[in-house]
Amino acid sequence: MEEKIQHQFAAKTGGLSGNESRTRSSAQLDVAPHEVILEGEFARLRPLGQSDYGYLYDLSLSAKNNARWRYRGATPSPERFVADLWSGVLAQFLVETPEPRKRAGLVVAYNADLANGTVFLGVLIDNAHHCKVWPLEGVLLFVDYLFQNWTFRKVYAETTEFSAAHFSSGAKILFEEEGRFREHQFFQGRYWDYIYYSLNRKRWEEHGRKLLDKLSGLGSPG
Amino acid sequence: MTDKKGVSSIESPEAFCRRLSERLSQEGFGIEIQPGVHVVDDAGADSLVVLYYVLQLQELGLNIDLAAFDTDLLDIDVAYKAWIRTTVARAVS
Repeated sequence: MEEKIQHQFAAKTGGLSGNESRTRSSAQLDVAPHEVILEGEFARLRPLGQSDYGYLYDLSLSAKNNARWRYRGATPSPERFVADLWSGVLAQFLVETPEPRKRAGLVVAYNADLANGTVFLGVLIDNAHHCKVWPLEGVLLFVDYLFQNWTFRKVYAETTEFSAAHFSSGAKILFEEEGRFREHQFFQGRYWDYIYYSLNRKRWEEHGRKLLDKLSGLGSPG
Repeated sequence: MTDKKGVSSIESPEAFCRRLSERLSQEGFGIEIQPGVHVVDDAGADSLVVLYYVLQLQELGLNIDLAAFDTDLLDIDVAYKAWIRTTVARAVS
């Protein structure tokens, strides 16, 4: 059986010739001098360009995300936003919808500690795609990318208690809670816990990658 | 009557929901699915549970293309009717 989630490196040189006929696996990593694309069965991840900054600014400051994401209700200038967008970032990609490709969100790895093998994961998905399931493939592709390309032991996620409800079930399957600051963050009139989750490499390989495989299996009904 | 996957072709909504709940429980999710509920709005499923729910529907015989995923399927009654249609169509073909 073909390994469907198989990231392959391929150079896009503009004249692929022999490579053009290569069968694309469901999740393929193409690497070229200026382009890294992670492509799953549905979602696609591509690098950010300057033309994406306006979209991300609007997405970050949307009513739904503003309190959950980096600025916690504040409204930075566009210039400050762009500077912050790359601060402490190891890698980040724009999440795109299935065909026809449209922007749908952002996945980012930040505060990498290469000496100790840890990195933080951030996910920002456009609310228009809530419950569409496929955006999760983009997140899983990105986590796989992190584990495949660096020797990370753990991928951390930090979140407030009110945001954790959106993925807390994963704490039983993929993540585990590493720590919790009690009543740490003020939002909507009260203090909420601030929670640190981790996904270690073993759990990823045992559960996460399998989930990615299953997802790719949903691509060809019939 | 059962098909190749051992899925009963005639099943009550309650049994369908019970089957889904059991399968999700086996995956580690304690979510109670009953007739008439919306998996997210009523049963409180988050995105990962929704993914597993869709995978279970797929394993029960529903063909689902996530690229065109219809969130109406998060309504268990809609999912049940779709499953019945699929099962009946498979039985007569």
